[in-house]
Amino acid sequence: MTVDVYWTLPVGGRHGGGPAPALRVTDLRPGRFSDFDHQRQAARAAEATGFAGLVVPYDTAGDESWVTATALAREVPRLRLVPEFQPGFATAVYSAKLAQSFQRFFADRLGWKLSLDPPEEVQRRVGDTVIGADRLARAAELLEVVSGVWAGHPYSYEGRWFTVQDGGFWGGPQTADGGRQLERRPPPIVFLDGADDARLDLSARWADVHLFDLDEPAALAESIDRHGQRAAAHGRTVRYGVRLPIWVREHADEAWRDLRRAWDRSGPGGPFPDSPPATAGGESHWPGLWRRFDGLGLRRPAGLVGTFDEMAAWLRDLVELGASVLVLEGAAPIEDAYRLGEFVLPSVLTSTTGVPA
Amino acid sequence: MSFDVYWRIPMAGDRSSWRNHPKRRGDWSPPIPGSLAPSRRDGEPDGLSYVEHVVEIARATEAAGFVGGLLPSFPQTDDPWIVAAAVARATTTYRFMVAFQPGFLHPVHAARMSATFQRLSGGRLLFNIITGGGGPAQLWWGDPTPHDDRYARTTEFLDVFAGVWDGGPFEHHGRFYDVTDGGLPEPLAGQPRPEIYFSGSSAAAIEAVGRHADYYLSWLEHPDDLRAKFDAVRATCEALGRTAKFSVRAHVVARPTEEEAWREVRLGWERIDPEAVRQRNARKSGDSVGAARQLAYQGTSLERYEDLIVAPNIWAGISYLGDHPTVGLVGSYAQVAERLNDLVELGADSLILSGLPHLEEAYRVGEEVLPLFGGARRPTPELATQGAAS
Repeated sequence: MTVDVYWTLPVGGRHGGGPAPALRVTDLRPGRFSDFDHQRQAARAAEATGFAGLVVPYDTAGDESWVTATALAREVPRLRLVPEFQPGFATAVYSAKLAQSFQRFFADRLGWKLSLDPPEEVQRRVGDTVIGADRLARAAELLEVVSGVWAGHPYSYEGRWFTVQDGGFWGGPQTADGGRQLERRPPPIVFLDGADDARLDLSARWADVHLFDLDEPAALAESIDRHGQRAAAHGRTVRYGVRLPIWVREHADEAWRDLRRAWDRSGPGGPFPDSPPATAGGESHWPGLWRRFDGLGLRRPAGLVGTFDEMAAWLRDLVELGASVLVLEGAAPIEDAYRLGEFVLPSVLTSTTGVPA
Repeated sequence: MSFDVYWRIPMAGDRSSWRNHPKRRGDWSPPIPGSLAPSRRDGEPDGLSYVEHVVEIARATEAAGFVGGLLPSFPQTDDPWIVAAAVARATTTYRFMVAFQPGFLHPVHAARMSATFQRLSGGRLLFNIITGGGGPAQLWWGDPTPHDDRYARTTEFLDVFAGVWDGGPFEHHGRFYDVTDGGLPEPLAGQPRPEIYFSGSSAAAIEAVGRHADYYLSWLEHPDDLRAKFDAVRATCEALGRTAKFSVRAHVVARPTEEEAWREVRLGWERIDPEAVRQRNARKSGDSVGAARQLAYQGTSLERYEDLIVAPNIWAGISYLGDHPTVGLVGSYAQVAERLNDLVELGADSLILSGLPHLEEAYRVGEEVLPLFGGARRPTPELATQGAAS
């Protein structure tokens, strides 16, 4: 199975209590450039350096992911774009309609990642009052309706959140002059995440890619196995991924020096947490494990700090465990993309997973 | 004040003329010799898609002197948000009038999408808010809400949109939406608010216009009917202490001479069975009052295309030549410009025009008709005094 490495676009919001990742547009003339110019360069850096795609996070404190991903799509003709969104932002049919045009225009390069766990108070601010287990039920409805309208006309559905009557693409109503969209496109690739039973159940039924956070190898292998059994019960094969922040330099002392500097300059305050914390069972498998990336404004707390060669070896370990998708994030989206592309990814992209394709 | 003239984007492919040849632009009809889509050469995908044609139309529109374009939305078309975001960075001044129904998007999310679009485009977004034609299409979209409730929802949508736009904190506990401590975050707040073009001919629509619309948008109708409609909107707005502005949406068939313009119409008319088209159009009408008004212009006789001429240069047969609103302008460049001046006379502050094929006709109308059109060249006193004021 090939290995696909995704990069994470900065969308400018503050999250996890930390500062916003620096948007480094330094031209001070007002109106000359916007953050999008920087985002575009980050995306093009990812394309130039061998990444397979770009995740555009759901972040109510930053830029909206659908508009950002779509505006980038013409600029990066090879990357898969993966906007993340919460399932209540639009009706299910409208979500599918956005995806349909995206697939038609951009050679089927859409993936979508459902955000199932934004904090409740954040969601109330954007007018989403669906909480708890209902969030998973709504996500399941969304995915079912999307799959229904995508299969074609006529499709009807009556759910708690979404409804359709005589709907469906491809074969639906004609234009008055007899035209209709003719060419069927594949639906977007579905990314889901989570480690508890309810999320694994949802994902086993619907996900194309399931993402886990960085964990000890045994725990990751066990999670992948639990998910795999559930997916097999549905007769499905799902790809697995790990998402993690990375901090990489040529030498270890440079990596830790720059990380400490970033913490002192834009971290949440307090002493630099420099010793890799022991895990419950003793030493971590990952000597470069660092659990405070959230303090630097990145999206997951646990990530890896190390040299080019170390990072390549660790990422190959993840691939060997069965993760054929890696979703990486760096504090410097352009510079880190080039560091990875030139010095780390070449040996990762040619490695193979421990599980058969 | 400025007078904005827009040009439409065809969202479901385009025809090469009014003469009812099969659609060759875009993948909405089976490929025939000369098809420019679905983007294949020798049977293989060639890496292009319909949006690349839209980019060319938008660039022509920009070059020909229009301020931007309307991007309509129907079940069988592409989606205007996706088109606008895809085309934004391929243009520089072009303004995107995105059509959407408030029922399909949550207003806070719509505000986030809009503010992000404003940031990446330099403030070039505006809206055509549609409240839905009802009927089978509305259920296709997954919206079972009845007509008058849809207008109540539109009003609430626009309340919430405006409430969060400039930051917060905004509190709203309504019938359709529930927001606690809302407001766009700092990087998104404070962008120029998209202008709102509002369509709808029913009493419920005109009531909703009064509260939130910047422009009341109508399809072209007989001038007497338009005047009466504008008067009703004006009265409603004045009762609410607002000044109404108006926009008219019309197809134009403009040629060097009137005879050549009608010849285009006749050649198209001769390729169709008018009665079959009438029946197909009637089946789609839903509960839209505006659509019913358009259909009412078509008399009982469909013997000749001339039977559908409702006033000088105003022809109610456009929908017989393609997938369009029914009433359009047909005439020489000078006549079409005169009719557009008539529209300004009866209250229009903005126009949304179109013609087939959209790419080439953007240049024709921009080069031949707009220079004869007085409305577009109104003096702009606020520009002249700007230096003194600031």
